[in-house]
Amino acid sequence: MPEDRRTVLKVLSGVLGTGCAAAIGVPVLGALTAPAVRVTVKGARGFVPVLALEALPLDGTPVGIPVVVEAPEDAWSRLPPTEVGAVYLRRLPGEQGILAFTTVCPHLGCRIDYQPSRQHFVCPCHESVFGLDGQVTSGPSPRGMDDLGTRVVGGQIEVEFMRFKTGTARKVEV
Amino acid sequence: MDGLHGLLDAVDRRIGHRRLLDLALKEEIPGGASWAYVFGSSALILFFIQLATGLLLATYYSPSATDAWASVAYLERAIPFGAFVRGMHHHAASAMVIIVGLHLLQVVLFGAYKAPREANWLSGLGLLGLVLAFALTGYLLPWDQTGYWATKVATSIAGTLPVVGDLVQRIAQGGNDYGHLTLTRFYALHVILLPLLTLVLIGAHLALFRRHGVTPSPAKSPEALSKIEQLWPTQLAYDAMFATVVVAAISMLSLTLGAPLEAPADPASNFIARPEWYFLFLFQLLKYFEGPLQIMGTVILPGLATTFLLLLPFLDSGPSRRLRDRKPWIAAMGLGLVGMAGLTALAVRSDNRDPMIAAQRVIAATEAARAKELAALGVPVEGPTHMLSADPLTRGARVFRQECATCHPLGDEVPEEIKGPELTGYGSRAWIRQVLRDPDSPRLFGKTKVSGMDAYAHLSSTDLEALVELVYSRRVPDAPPVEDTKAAALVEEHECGNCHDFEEAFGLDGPSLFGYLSESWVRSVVDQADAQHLYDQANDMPIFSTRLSERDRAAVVVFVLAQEALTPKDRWPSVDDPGPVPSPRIEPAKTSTPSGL
Ligand code: FES
Repeated sequence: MPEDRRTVLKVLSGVLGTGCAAAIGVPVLGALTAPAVRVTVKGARGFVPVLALEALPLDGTPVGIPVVVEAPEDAWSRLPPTEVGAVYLRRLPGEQGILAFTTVCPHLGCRIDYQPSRQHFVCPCHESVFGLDGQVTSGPSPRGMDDLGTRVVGGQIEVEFMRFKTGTARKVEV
Repeated sequence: MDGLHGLLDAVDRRIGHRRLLDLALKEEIPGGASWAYVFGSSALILFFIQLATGLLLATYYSPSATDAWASVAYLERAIPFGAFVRGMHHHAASAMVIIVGLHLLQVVLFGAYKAPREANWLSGLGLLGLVLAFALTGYLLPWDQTGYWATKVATSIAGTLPVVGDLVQRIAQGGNDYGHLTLTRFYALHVILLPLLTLVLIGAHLALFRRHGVTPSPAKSPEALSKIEQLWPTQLAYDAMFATVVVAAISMLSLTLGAPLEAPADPASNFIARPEWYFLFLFQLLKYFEGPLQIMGTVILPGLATTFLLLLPFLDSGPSRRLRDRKPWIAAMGLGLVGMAGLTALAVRSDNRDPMIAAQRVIAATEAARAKELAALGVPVEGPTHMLSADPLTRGARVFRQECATCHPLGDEVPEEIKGPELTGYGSRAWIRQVLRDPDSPRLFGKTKVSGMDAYAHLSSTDLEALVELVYSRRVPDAPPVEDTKAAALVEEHECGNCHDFEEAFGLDGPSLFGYLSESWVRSVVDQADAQHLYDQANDMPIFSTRLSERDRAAVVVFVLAQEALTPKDRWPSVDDPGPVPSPRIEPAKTSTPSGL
């Protein structure tokens, strides 16, 4: 067989083989990597209504409120209302607005308690103590309590619920 | 260049890849390359396509009765290339059946199963069995109506086997009935066991092929056979060209048709089960054997055919591979093929001729589309079957078919004996206009005891439209009083108020138009159409308040009121249409309107 015909056949096989591989490979890889740039689990992010504004004590006493997401989604599923965490809410003096802290301890992630008798927050795990403003007053926590964004919509307090990395001095969302 | 060669030399000294490549590519083909040899390599390529696309599907699929359908619908809807990749997997499976079939035919025609290649033949038949097992197990995985019901037929057949049937069926379906455990075991078979077995058998099949070499056509002369060609490049180029055609074909099918996904499996429905096209002949065979003879169609005939194939190399044991020396065996194969093709054609034809099946297909398509629409909002944790049956529109359609369609025509569905007004486009301006023009038309109240209303077909179109608008607007809660509408003078002139009340439900001679065609008005008709302010003495419609659950009544109202939006505008003649009154019923079109039924 003439050498140039052999060459043509070799090149042709190579081209067709590559084409077929691409016809399968590109869509498969495209679909495989698609979730990397997609929100697949919805619910524990963004503003969530937690309490009517008028229910928040005027004297600045903190109240602990669970954060319930109405219909969180996980890929194809729509889940029933689910408690995704909790927050402490507190009215600041005057018209300064509302302060919201997540209940997750910035030390290693236990749940912080509020002690009304001493008017401060205490984490039962390693006894980090936080003032009403969230600052550490004693204990191992590397930073103050993590505050969350708030807004009032139609008389309802909404909290921008999120989670942060624990154990670091800097507050970094995860 | 020298550097590269040096490097390759060094690699070769260590791993010996050149010997392996030579082994792969320098296979000698007596008689030279041929298009007849392309099927095996294409089957192998299809297997790798199934591995790649199947792996992708497995990354999205969730094998549980409450999640499977939803996960497949999610892949189709939300993931780029998802529908395409699933389409490839689906159509490559069909292509595999065709290619493997052609491969088998070529082997039979060339007599390539003859000694010493009996083991090649048997391993090939084993692979064919695996292809069919893949198809059977894969069909169930989306947990949609077709997969569910067709696979049920298959496992029920296993259940009819003498002695061991019950046990086999329970093992196959993972318990006493279909559920989570059926899916998990079909999934495990489909993605773990069958691929492993296939890899092993492919290895054996290829090794045996290499051991004995190709079997050239028996028609080739000795001098033609003395021409030896190597696999690379001519035969491989042929293989690549054919494989490209196959890949292009399944890509086209995936792009245009995709893979079907019916409504989620519903054990309570009366879905008509049909297997994939390549199993239709077996399905058709079942129709011919009744009672105790059933085993003929399920076990004996397929078993005989399988045994024939397995024994073929030993039955046809003569040395000659020429066709004319193997007439009985070729004839038997031909007969089998013609039988399969004939049965398949019969199955397709009888389905296409059956109006029941056509109606079922319309319902199936409507429910599938609705299920996907609902799934886009997120599937509740109870699963998609529950989601669909809780959907008022779907539930209402089901109740309507059961309870209402026996009297009321709707779309293309016409009851044997029409007893109530046609509800096509119910509540639309076109429907109201028709009631005003000709209330006693046989399409409307002509077949009921409700009578006595004048026909207003003679009104000018402006006047008629004013009345249509008046009646149409009664459904909104703050509908303007009649005096404030353009129709005030007409209502006065034609004394509509003598029979119909507009502002409150009094109970005059005609049905109350207070809130007419609103959800609560229609609901009161469904609940109790003989109420004094409705059809009273003239009512023939059953009282559904005691017959249907609250939920079903609410659903049927939603469904009936959805007809306005669902019905194409031309189902009722428009006011500009000077057509005869009463307008003749439009003959059911071949293609159905989406009445939602
Ligand atoms: S986790 Fe709270 S103090 Fe350690």
